[in-house]
Amino acid sequence: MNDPHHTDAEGPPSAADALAIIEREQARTSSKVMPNIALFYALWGAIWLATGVLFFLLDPATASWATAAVVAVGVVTSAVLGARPGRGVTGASTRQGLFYGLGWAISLSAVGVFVAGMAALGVPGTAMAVLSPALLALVVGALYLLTGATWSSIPDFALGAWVMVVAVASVFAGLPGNSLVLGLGVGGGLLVVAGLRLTRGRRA
Amino acid sequence: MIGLPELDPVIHAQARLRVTSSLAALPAGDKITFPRLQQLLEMTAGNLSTHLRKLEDAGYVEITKSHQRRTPVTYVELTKIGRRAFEDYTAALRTLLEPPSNGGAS
Repeated sequence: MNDPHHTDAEGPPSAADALAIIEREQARTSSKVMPNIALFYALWGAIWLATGVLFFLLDPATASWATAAVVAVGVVTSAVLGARPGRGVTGASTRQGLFYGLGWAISLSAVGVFVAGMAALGVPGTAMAVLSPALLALVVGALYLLTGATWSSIPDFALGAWVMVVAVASVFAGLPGNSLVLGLGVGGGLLVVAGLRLTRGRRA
Repeated sequence: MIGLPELDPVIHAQARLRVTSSLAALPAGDKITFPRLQQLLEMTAGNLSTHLRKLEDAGYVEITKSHQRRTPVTYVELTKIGRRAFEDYTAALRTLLEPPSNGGAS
């Protein structure tokens, strides 16, 4: 029974086979039950990049509509990507995932209302055009910092710090370069992390 | 063979090893529905039940039945004892596979 080279199709596997079974089964279960988070980074990286370029090239009104459409697609896609693999699984991680997702929703909604408040206060349009996307990026950066802290992930923590630097830099870049700074900086950062995750495995 | 670790007979069988490995891949404290586990493992319901019962008898697996909108749902989860047993089993395998002398480079 303890012979590591014993092999029998019906009976107990050899030690080497047993270890292979463990590795195969765990990789299979993880990949099917947990969302492939690299896809989220790739998706939102592409959205930031597209939005930055849209605002740089188009007039603000058209760019806003295009951005709203792209973001709506992103939100729906994220919800589907995030919810499907976890079906049939519940427990401690479900609550953590729910709180994490709600954290993003609450923070980003608050930014939206805050920006509306700034406009209501009569902040000039040029200042709004620079400050609102920078504020969004600042909050997003803080959330990635905390993502890194929650899952003790270096790429997320570094991404968060980088996004905050880009957010501040975009304010100093001013119009119209700010949108390009944000698009390339935030979008590029997300795409780099997506690439890292895809090459290093799913739960880096 | 003296000094080699014993392999836990409850886990050390093809099917139960697959079930235990899969359950251990879930984060601690998470449980999975019977049909989803069956789908992940591609086992028949009868076969999976048989092996789950053995794991349950050993205290390695906890099976809970609840209701979701009047539909009965069966959840399967690895207990703390089960997770510990799986870790010990994996450690024992690694010890068995280590070269007997200290000259090995791996």
